[in-house]
Amino acid sequence: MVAETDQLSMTFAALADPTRRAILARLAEDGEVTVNDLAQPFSVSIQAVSKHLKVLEQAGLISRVRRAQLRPSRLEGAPLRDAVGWLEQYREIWEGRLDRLASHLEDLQRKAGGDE
Amino acid sequence: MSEQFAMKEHTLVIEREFDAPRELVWKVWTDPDEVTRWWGPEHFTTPREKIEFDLRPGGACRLTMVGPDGEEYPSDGHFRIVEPPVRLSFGEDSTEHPMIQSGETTVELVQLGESRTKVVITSRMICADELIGMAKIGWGSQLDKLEALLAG
Repeated sequence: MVAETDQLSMTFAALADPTRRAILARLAEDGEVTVNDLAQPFSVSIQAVSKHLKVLEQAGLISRVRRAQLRPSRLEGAPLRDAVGWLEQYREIWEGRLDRLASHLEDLQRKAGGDE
Repeated sequence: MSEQFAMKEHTLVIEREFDAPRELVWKVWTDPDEVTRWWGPEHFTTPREKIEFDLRPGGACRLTMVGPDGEEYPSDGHFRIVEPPVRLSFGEDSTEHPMIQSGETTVELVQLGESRTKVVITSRMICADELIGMAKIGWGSQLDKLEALLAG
């Protein structure tokens, strides 16, 4: 439970920055991209991009290929889906609540109606 | 924290019909003795002594859900609209996540027959635009569902 929340917090924190979101969008389109490729469209240095990639990697949003010298980055979908799924859980909580409300109403009326 | 999310309102609507008279549905929504019987997600409980309702506009709407591991999830809000047996609204507390804040939940009871009632729950949530932006980039079916959800 705590670990999940931490993961979500890290995901949200990583997503808080517009450059990092743009990097993710780029990875979603192009698959594997190197730090040099990533630095080009943004008016930031390679060092700055590297820093952003580190945050994204720590949050588990991307992975980086170890073998290659340029260590291209790649998108990891699961934590993002969890973040978005959190919102969906909200609906599920309501649906479950209404299921229980329905059975509670049935119980109440059965009791009130006796053994008719 | 210098990075702030732009928060925007999104609406979630959930409808359900019940085989029960409207007065009874109103009672189970507003009487703590009844609420304790059904509130709270699956495997959670909402102990009677942890429900405090002051059923009038501006009155307290407090309850604590207890998780399967004993952890407590208190919520501290207020009733806004109290129009028995038709309409009830209450403000929910913010969530622990920086991208989502809950807003206000309105419960409407529509009488369909002597013992048939439709409940319409409208939850206006304040959440970060970023969540919506991500839905647009398109990361599979879960996001499609999200979009449908947010479109209400």
